[in-house]
Amino acid sequence: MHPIGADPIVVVGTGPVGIRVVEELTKHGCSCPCVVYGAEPHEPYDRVRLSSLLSGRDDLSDLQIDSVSSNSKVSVRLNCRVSRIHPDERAVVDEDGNVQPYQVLVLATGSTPHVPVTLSGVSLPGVFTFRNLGDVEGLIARRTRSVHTVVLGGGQLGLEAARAMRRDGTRVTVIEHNSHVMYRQLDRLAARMVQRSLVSDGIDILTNRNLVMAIGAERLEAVTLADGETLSCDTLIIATGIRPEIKLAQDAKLACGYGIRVDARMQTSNPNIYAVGECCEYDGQVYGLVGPGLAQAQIVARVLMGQTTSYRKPALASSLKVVDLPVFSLGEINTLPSTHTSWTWENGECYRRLVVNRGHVEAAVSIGQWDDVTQLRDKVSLKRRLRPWELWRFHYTGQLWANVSDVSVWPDDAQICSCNSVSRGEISRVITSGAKSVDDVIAKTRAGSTCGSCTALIRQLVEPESAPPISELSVSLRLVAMFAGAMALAGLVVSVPYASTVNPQFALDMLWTDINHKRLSGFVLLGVVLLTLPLALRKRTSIQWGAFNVWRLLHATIGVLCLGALLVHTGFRMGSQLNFLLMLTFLGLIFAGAVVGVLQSFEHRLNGSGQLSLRKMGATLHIFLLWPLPALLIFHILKSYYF
Amino acid sequence: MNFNIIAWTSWIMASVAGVVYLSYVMTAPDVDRTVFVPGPMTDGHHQIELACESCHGTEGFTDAEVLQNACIGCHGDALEEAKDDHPKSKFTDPRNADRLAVLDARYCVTCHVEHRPERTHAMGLTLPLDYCILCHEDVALDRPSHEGMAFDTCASAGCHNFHDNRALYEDFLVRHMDQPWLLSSRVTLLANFEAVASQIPGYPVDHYPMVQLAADNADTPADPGVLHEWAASSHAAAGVNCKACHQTDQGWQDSPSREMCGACHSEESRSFLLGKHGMRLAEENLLRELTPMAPGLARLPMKSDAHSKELGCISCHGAHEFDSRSASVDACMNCHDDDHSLAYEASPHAALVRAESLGQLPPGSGVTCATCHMPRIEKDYFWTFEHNLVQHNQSETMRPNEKMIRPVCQNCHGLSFSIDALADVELIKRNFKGQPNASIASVSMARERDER
Repeated sequence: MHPIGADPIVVVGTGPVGIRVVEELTKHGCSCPCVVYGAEPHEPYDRVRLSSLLSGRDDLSDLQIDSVSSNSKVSVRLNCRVSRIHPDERAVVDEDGNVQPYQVLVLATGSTPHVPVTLSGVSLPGVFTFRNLGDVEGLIARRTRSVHTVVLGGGQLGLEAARAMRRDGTRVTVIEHNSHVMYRQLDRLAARMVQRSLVSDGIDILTNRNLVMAIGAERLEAVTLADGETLSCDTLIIATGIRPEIKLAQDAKLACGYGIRVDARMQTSNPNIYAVGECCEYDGQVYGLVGPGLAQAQIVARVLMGQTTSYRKPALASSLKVVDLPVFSLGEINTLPSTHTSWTWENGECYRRLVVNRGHVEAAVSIGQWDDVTQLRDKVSLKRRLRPWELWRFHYTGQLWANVSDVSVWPDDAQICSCNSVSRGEISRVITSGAKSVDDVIAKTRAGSTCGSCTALIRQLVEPESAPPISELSVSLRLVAMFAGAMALAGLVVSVPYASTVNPQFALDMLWTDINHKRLSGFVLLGVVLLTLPLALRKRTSIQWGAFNVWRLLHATIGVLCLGALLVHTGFRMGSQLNFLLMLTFLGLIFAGAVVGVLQSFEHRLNGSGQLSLRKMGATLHIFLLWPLPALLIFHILKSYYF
Repeated sequence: MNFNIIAWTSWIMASVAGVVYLSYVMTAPDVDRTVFVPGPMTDGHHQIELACESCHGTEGFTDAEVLQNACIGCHGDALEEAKDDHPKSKFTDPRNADRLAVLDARYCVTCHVEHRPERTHAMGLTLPLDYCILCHEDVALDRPSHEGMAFDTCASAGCHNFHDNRALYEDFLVRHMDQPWLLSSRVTLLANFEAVASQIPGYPVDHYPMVQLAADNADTPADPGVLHEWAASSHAAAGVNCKACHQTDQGWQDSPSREMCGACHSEESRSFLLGKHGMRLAEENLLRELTPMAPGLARLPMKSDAHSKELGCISCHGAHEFDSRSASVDACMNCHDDDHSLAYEASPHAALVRAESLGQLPPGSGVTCATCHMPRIEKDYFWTFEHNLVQHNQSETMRPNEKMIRPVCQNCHGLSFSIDALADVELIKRNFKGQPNASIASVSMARERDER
């Protein structure tokens, strides 16, 4: 731990990561004053949502981060660029020449847009980068006037910019030098779906093309492609990636690669200087996403507060919406060896692909809504394997896990907000301790405050009426299933005693002593058993008639009838050999079904993976025990006639 | 491939395999069909559980007649012998049609269903014990003494049996009610083979004239010990030489088969196959081959070192000595290990055997295991002579044990005492050491009615 003396902790950068460092320090009760330098003139804002601002989905106030301005220990110096670091004197100098000594220096200088050096004419008016609020202000001004905007770069940022610019009917062309858009995140098929969606939205996409020149006398008039074609346009947005902003660090002789090199504690080569976010390089890798940056901010705050902690490489995952199309990507799907197994599922609207190496997901791509995404990301970051049946289910249904759409049954440690690492359990705790609305939860946990894509999940948790409401049907189902379970259990342990006297119980005994009665009750039982099968068909075929929960209730009721017929047929005597096996199978089958039914009826209430996996086990057992029945039944009936 | 396709394919394959396997088990000859048994069999039939065909027939899909014929095939003679009180003819009589409607006693299985241990009572009865009420509800009208008696005591109190009442019917009781507990003449039947052999049809008396043979007369050289045993046996006494048993159409046999014994001892062999010791060998009834009975298969307690012995003629009679004395006690004790058997040595019956062997009592005074359980009975040949055969079917004098009274007990004991003794479970456990505690009312009730 660093001795906390008179000098403040200085943070360079007011981006989301820099601000998060200060927030985390405050949260951990840091008594040391903080000074935050921001080169931009604006109050700290959420850079991640700039594309929403550009498209008009959010306004400026939505982007404001005002969590630090109210803190008396924190002084924020905006529009004040730090020009030099003096590591030996432990001080920074701003562009006005003011010297600020520091206890500890945290660099969160972020990145600058990468502009290809081969491209000439980038200084012409009408050529924009897409990085900061200033860029967005300029673009908003252009948006309404622009007739044709060319976006260079088909990455995530480029596509978002293209979409935002398209809003007012502006013609937009995206130029991508790779064979498809979002080349790092998507495979060819997924990219084709994204492109199709973009094209249908009116955005032209030119792939395998490169831009060499921006032409114009006083302002941009056209661009020239590498193959000589010229496109007339009035706006060019360059979105060809980022370069970590490391000039300050280089000047201070800190070890730098592509970014500022840090260890797992976010410490640079100088023990008093730390670096976080897009400007730093950990284990040879610079992360251009907000999630890892915020996690790094958390690490650095903990390190400064003397806690032992270290940074873990995140699963490179991103969820975004491209032209309202949910796109999820994890890992680098195009660079994996072909020895890995690839699992694909698609249904026209959705496309999902997993690349799996011995159960571990190495990469994943999904286009369209996919509820498994959060759990999948958790599995990957915890290095958990996928089970073979999960992969089979994925192959067949596109879902890895059953019923994940109900967020309340997610496991406690499943992440809801991956930007801020907030788990389902944490949110549930906040809700139990009094949070009443989505905004309450966001204020208390910060879940959903960064990219906002998880607010729907939070709403499901906080407003139960949006979760499946308890219906009278599920109460009925519970009663019927409990009755069936109790009866099946009773059948396993007790049986009707035979009459001890010929009068008057003997007549009842005829049910079990008279062969004709036995055969009649046996065939009635068989008929009732067959009545349970339509549910299986309803589940597995395209028959969609009637509500499923009505079918399920009916199925459970027929299950009880089966037990009634079984009682008449056998008196719940287990018999021996083949008969015993049949009884055991049949009663076990019904009991497992009853367990599933009871758990199903509590679905709206219980949560956690325990219930989910118990129900899954029950359902598997229910089906598994059904399988021996045909062979056993055939011979049970046959032998009654044969012998 | 799709998980579901694999799962469904494996299921279909497993089901087909199961069906094929079970079809094979159901129909192939000489296969263990235990898997189809709906429940363990009664004590009477458990030995032949695997010979499904013996009752169900060799053809599948049989009807009630096949079962009925199987019952009668083994038990018909005994029922006739017992002068069955409820024969089929009683129920096929049109005058009893109303009773037939209540209880279809034309078929054995109406009252004796196999494979139903949960409702099987003593004697393999699978009806509630008060079944007599179905027809005899108004018995007290005729016999006021029976007023208020519970109907489940008819057969359990020692008064009545459904089939065999030879020693229990009223006239018999009246006739013997004044007998003392111990009769003045107390001997059992003695062997009389020598006297009647020449008259027994089919006995090859020409080959084996009744001449006492000595060791020197043996027609085949053999070990002196063996020769000595043979010379002392009843075989030597009846002129039966070595080759009589060992020489067959296929030449010399070291171990003669049971059929060789049966060639002369056909009646003993026949009853042996009907009894508990030989029923597994009765291939004619079973319609399949089973291994011989072994004590290890029995449900009664058996000595642990005897479990793997196999029962045949020589297992009890020995190979050359053929000593009926040792066959009647020692052979039993080699295997049987229940209280009744173990108490025999200290019983008054055993003391009689010792006294007889010391010459203190006349021949036939001793009471061995066989005296009661495999007694000598008189087989009547055309009203000209009687052969005192050993009944090798134990159930002839057992189950219910009142069957023993006339052929066995009444040789020495009075009727009333015999009925009481056989009703006293504890006394039987002690092998009749002491006096019976039970007192069956039937004799005194018969007396009262007679005196009125």
